[in-house]
Amino acid sequence: MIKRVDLRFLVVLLVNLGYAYAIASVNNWLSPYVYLMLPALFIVPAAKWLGTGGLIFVVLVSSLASSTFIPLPMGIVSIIWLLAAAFARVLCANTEKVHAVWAIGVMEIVNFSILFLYTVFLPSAVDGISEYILRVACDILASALVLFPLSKWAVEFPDRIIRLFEPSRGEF
Amino acid sequence: MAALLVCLLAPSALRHFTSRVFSEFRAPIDSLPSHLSDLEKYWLMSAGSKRSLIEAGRDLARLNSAYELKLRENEFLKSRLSRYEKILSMPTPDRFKCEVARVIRREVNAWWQYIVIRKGSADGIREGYAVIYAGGVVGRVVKTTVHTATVELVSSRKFRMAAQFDGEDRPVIYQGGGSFSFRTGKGVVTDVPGDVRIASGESLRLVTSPLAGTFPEGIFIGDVVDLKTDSDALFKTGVVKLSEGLDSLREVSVLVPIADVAK
Repeated sequence: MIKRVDLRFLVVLLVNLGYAYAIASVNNWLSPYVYLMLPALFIVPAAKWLGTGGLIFVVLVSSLASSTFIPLPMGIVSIIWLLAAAFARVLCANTEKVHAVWAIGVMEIVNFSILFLYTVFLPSAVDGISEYILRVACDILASALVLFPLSKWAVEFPDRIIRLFEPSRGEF
Repeated sequence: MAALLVCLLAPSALRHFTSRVFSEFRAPIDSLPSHLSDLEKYWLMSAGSKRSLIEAGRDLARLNSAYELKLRENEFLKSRLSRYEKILSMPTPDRFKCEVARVIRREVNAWWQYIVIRKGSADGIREGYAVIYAGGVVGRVVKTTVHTATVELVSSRKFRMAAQFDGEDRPVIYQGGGSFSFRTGKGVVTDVPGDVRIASGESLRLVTSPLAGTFPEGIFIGDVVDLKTDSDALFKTGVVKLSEGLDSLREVSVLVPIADVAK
């Protein structure tokens, strides 16, 4: 008897790879002015649609791939992302249907929490505290604004791809 | 919980290995936009009309003839220079070979300032090599993968080097000052001798010092626009305005030491 394997995590992982590519391309042009940081895009859809094992795997791989530039020990970034994933999981627990307000709320809360932890852990690389606060505020605000219209679509997107493989939804 | 413990307690060798693996894994994603852009340019050019190709060829021919003249002039000056060096028994100044590389990614924010270039250890690029462009110093290579290299920008606070004012030989210390939203990055110059002054409305050119090691002498870093006396009244500290071109780099040159090329 062949064991049926839940491969939904692969879909979410590939979507995350696409997000990493898109965000890197946008930041390539924007980063001298503002820098977009959208870790919630990698975490919340995984927390919504995957089982615990898949969620840990996807978040761990995404955090390791995204943290190549972050000047923190590798484990720290992964811990922050895993904690955020656990938090997102709690927020997603009793929600069956994805509402726009709910998606925006969860995405913004998770994203802001991670960026707040980055601010706590990462040393400033800007000369002068007021300049540092201004730059961080600009980056967080720009990230929040970009996330706002994307949230509902981003949470639903992996599920839409998974639905393509129905009737054995999620199991192929 | 187990995943958190693994992240927290993993030995540093394992973390280093994982970091290298993911850097290599990520490198093709970083260079993909650059390759796609090259492909787009190729298709755009191949779709061009015969007329535009003829015009481009004519412009190139004009440029080539101008460059040929410059090349001859350059060769003549080089031979003259080498004759003088032989007569005066001077050491040869060619310490570096330029490896031109395309910028494929910019990472500039309040916490880190890097660019990624499309050449890596396979092209002989190693950590610590100097990176420059037409407008001066870009930074230093801090990490390499097989086909990409990460360069710490001159605006980064972690970037520190010996420098000097143009036309002087007294060394000063340059350090990056960070990146600011909607403004060009800046740096800080310290240990400036007390007798150095800037006339109002003017600036002093800061260039690399021979003490900088990986950088050749005289490469432009930025303009010092303001100098203030330190509390000890012996030295001054100033603000360095970096070139605006740093925000829109497309190609840079990595300076590979000739000694390393020979290996």
